[in-house]
Amino acid sequence: MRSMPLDLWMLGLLLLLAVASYLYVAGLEELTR
Amino acid sequence: MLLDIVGAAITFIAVGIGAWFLAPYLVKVFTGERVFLSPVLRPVERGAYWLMGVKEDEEQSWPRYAVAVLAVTVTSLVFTYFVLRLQDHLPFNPQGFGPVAPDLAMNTAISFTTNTNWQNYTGEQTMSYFSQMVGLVMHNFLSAATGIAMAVALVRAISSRQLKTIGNFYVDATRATIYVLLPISIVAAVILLSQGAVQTLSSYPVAHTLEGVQQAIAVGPFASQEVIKDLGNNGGGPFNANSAHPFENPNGFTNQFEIFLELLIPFGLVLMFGRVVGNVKQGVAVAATMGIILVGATGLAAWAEQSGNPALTAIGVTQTNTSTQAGGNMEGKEVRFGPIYSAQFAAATTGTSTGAVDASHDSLTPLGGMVPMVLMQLGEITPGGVGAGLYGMLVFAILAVFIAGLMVGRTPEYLGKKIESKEVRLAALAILILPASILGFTALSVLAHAGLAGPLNPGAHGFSEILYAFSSQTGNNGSAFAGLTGNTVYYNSTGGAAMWLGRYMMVLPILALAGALAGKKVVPAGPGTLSTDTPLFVGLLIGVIFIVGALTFFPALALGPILDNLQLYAGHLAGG
Repeated sequence: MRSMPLDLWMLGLLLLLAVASYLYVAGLEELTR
Repeated sequence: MLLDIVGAAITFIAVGIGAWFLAPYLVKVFTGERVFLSPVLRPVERGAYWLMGVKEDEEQSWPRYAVAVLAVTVTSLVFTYFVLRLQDHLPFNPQGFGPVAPDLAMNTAISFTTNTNWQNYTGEQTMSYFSQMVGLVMHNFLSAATGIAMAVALVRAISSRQLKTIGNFYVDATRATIYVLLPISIVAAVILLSQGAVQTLSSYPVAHTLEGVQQAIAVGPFASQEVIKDLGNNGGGPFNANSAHPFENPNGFTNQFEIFLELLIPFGLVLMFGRVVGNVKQGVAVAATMGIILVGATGLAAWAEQSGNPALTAIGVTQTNTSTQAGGNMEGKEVRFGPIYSAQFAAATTGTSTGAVDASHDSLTPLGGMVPMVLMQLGEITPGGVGAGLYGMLVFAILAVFIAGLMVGRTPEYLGKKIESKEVRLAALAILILPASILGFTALSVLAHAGLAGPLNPGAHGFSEILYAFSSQTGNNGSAFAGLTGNTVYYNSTGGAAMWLGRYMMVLPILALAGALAGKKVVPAGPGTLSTDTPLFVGLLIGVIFIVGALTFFPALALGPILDNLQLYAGHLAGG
């Protein structure tokens, strides 16, 4: 694990995508209510 | 050539027969009825629920179903990321491969989790057996099962049952894995093994060549991986050459068998849909729509490839089909497959979300290469990925009845369920994410230095290489044009984002659509109801798919493969 900073960037990208998807579900839930 | 056409036709017919018989089995599996494998598999299924702490009869609303999909996705994705990053400390690494770089590990983890299997690496030079078998093949089952589960949820919602819920994701995914993917994989792996596909855990044997040098022959546990690669519409092969490699795809029979595996479950699910909604003809109409486009695309690609390369014709090279040569454009193709089988494989792999290749798509003629590109841009609905094709096509069907409703001024309905503004908005969201991601990332890449560093060719062909990459990744296909240096931080990151957007930003509105349709009262058909099981509807659906799906991409295609084709016939070679 010598490339720690890039690891953090990549896990950050995943976190961003996961949170965006979760918020998307919440937004769609509003739309379908 | 005639024999090749007959062989291609027999393969399609075999798919139709196989899917017809698979459909009633799928109905029983997903309604929890007893099937002939139940005595053996039911205890395994119960054990899986016990391990996961899942209550089998507990139904989920669509947001709970969606969150379950996301939770399984993120957990398994992080697991694979660390398997790849730490493979040098893990077992089954006889070649002593080092850790996979962070950006490549993330791209690969997203790729396999989203059923894309885009590969910015050479498998036999990068991945340990452990990474292949545990980190990657796990997703070949899980991502396929997830796709099937989401399609089943939408079918339930459209059917006439009066529940507001859409099933249980964990149960659907478990049943898809245990009753569908695993049994077919075991039987098909034995068939591939009998034909010469390789299956071993030994280290690479070393051959001493006639020139006196040593050559390591890459082998591995690949026959089993090959089957789920095709059956689950994953496409990520253990070899860089993918299905062009004789250890993955030894002969003409296995080539057609792999095409059969790619198409079997997607068509089976569509026919299952007809049975679940209580009208087999509804499933047949959707399957016919998919089949007509797929056969047409295969014919166009086969014609383009068999016609050969005009630049070679101009300098007097014979590309005609004779008793001693297949003829046509043979650049980047295997002699044992020839242009027609290769074209059929290209259409099947991109009509589904498989992305396996038995020929270099970069070496297809411009028009031949445009066919797989368009099939991916349509959203891979002909017949589409396992599950993904069915839910993608049902969204187009909903859009088609909406457009038909606008024409005659009636509230549209599909299978007795009123399609209102809420449903149309969700369908539009699902459809628009594809062009937004494909065209957005392509535009960014032709503007950014890091993006322009990728293509190996200048001009129209280079543009096609970028457009193909984002079409493939957003469409969760995974096939590569192979003319793009993708293993860079830029392409690994943007590609990873495109794969995620293409999978979840498309499927979440579809699950919401399922939630909106679930429990809606079924209105009996009246004299003004548009029948959705007739040839007229099939024609309408094909029209909507091409108007909405294909015309969105026409300007981009004009800059890529269409211009490439015109230049080729005018004698201006890209990069020449």
